[in-house]
Amino acid sequence: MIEFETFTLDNGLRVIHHYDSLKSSAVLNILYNVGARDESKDKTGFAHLFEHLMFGGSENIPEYDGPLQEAGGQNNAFTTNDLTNYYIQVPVENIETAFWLESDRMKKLNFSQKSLDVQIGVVIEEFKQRYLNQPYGQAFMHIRSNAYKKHPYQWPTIGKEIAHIEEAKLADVVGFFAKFYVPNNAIACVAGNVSLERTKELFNKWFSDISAGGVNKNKYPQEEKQTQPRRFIAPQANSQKAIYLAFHSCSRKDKAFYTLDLISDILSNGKNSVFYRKLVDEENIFTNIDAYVGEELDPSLFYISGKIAANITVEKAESSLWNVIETFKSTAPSESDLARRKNKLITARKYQETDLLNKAMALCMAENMGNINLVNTEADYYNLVSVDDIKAQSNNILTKENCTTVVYDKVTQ
Amino acid sequence: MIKSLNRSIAPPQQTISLPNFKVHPVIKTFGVDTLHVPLLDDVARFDIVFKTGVLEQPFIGALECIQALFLAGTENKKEEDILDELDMLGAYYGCDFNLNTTTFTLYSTPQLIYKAAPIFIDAILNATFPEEKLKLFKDRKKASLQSNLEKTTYLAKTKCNNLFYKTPILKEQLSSQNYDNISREALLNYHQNHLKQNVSIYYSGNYKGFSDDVIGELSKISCNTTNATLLPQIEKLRPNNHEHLNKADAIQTSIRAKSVGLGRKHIDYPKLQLSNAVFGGFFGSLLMKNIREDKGLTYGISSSLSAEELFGTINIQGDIKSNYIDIVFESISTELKALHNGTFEKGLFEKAKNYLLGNIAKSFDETFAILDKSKLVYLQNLSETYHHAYFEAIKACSLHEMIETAQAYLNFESFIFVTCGPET
Repeated sequence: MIEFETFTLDNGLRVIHHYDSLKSSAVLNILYNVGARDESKDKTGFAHLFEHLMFGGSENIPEYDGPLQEAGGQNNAFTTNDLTNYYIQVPVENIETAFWLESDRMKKLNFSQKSLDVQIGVVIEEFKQRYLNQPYGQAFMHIRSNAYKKHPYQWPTIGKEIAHIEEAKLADVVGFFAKFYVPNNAIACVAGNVSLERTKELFNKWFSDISAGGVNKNKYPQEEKQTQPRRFIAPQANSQKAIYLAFHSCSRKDKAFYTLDLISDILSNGKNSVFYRKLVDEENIFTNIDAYVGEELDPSLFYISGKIAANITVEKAESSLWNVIETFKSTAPSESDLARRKNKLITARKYQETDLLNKAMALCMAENMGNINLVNTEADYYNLVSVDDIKAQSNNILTKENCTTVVYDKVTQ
Repeated sequence: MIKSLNRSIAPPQQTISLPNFKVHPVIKTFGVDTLHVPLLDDVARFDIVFKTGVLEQPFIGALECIQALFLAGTENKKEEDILDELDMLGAYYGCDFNLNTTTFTLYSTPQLIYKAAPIFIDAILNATFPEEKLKLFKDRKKASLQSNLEKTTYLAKTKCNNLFYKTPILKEQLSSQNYDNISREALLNYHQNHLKQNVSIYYSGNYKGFSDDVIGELSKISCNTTNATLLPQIEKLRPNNHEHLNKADAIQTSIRAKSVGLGRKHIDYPKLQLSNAVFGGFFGSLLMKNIREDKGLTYGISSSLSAEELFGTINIQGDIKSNYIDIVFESISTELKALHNGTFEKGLFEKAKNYLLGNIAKSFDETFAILDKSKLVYLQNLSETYHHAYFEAIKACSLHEMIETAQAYLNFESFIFVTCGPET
């Protein structure tokens, strides 16, 4: 159970307070309602590039990281397709430093061409490191660009191509900040040994004079129902053959998400999962195989990915995989199998609730989904999932016409 | 609204202090060295540690096999039954190893862990490593190796380790032959006669359900904790300490470097942590400032310390823009000189120190912090006051002492450098 209080500043900044008297550090987490889905088609990767620029100093604080390091704190950020999240963890006695830093950069970022030029270079190296210089590194780019034809989920947060990052202009940076980095488009959470009164005092002191702006309405072109299988072949010279399946599924906010999450666990979590037992252990078709559900706020994807054993063709692997999927759809898991998965999920959630930063982020995410109480009620939703739900959802989602397949096959040298 | 707020002035900052804590003692419980830490959170952890690790492996890959197959079945129970039983108890599990220890960890809730522990212990102690499971493991490792050989990071790291260590068992694998050579008999022999020794257990949780019935089997394991801690042997440094591996199709160049550091017990270890932090140990370090923030040549480059009781290494790692290797080498050398001469940005020393102190203090907020810190004291033969002394030593370290330590241990010529990427 994560206890919390909420209040909203006059400028629209939503604030969450979580008190934990046992921790010596405190967290200030700020979530901005802007992600890669808010980019235009020809300027992809911008939300993530902008995240980098947020560390380049602000109007009154030329260097962001230094003062925090002096206060014994740490920070980082991440961008997803839906949101951008910034966090600071600092010894509780120095928590005001976090307020000072975060409020000043929300008030006015220090825009500079030099900072933009350097961060363009850094992000391009990140692009190469994570996506281009790795076997299978572009798999999810291929999946997204084939599975989505209208929705901006068709590109990853790093961007569609390096050229988009290279072409970013300072004017774009200024416009993006003015449009999205406003208090009424953000959610803040303080977690730790900081009283509610002190929290209110600090937010009033540091954030209340920041002007409100427009709120991101989160309207995006919706994807039409996929009715035919889609396929992309990605040639690969030396690495192991691999196959990726992606099925259109549901939003993270949809109740069906909990069923799909459990389906992914039953199919692939551990050596006693359906896929491992049949396709790895028994038939030696794959050396490893996973299933996982995307957590985006608009309708997301359900993924299956496997590395194919050396002497097995892609065709054989694919047909064997589909045989197991079809069998799973027609014969639902046993009650005990479902119970085992639920028990593991409950343990995992209890572990997540022991970490201060995890709690702060979970609270902001739940609030951003429109219902902060989800942090405490999601375990119940998992418990309510029945064997019949598993069967219905797997039959609904795991179909060939709803599937985008990406295959890594060896090319002849 | 407070209109007179002066945002250019930082709020006052307080000195970072260590939370109150006490290392818990290891005591004999049910005939086994045991460390128990009560916990307020609704989670529990149970570790079984054998005081033997990579250095005592009879063949390369032995502990990787143990790690992958320790729940693969016993004479009386199949793998799927063991896993199903543990899952029903909401348990997670794992095996980890380092130079001198091997640890099996079980996570669950305080209410269920005492039920999961006997299943876990039985599976570990009586593992039979079925031939078909071993074959699957070998096939998987060989396939994974095939992918790894495409990665500049893997190639650079492996080559760097192989050039650095002289001890044959620490030479990393670049051939699937090593996996083919592993036999079930050799694995069983290692498990029965060598791995299961000098056992100790560590558990944390608010349930006192552990009893002789739960952990009694462990008391039958021989204990001879007087064994000296083994140390790896290091190759002699060569005049040319840089080797490049050509990978023409690579998009970036990976750089990995290693030199001898200090063991945790060495009096200079805390000061070396501070020197390393200034050099490349945090976001504001000399390496990150120069190569990422000023030049934009990498997403990240860092240096880090790895330390056991009596042995440690200093490691540099990063993935860089391929045509700029020479500039990156020059930058590393320049920043080491700046570190030795004290010619770096005013204030960096205090930032690095406070970053480290804040990081240590924060580590006590972790759920199993007291368990882990007490365990470290026991397994690495440290003093009960080690953690306090470590914190205070960093706090007390002067700029002059930090520079002297860097001059003694952080030298460009002491590193073995390996780069992997296209020829430039």
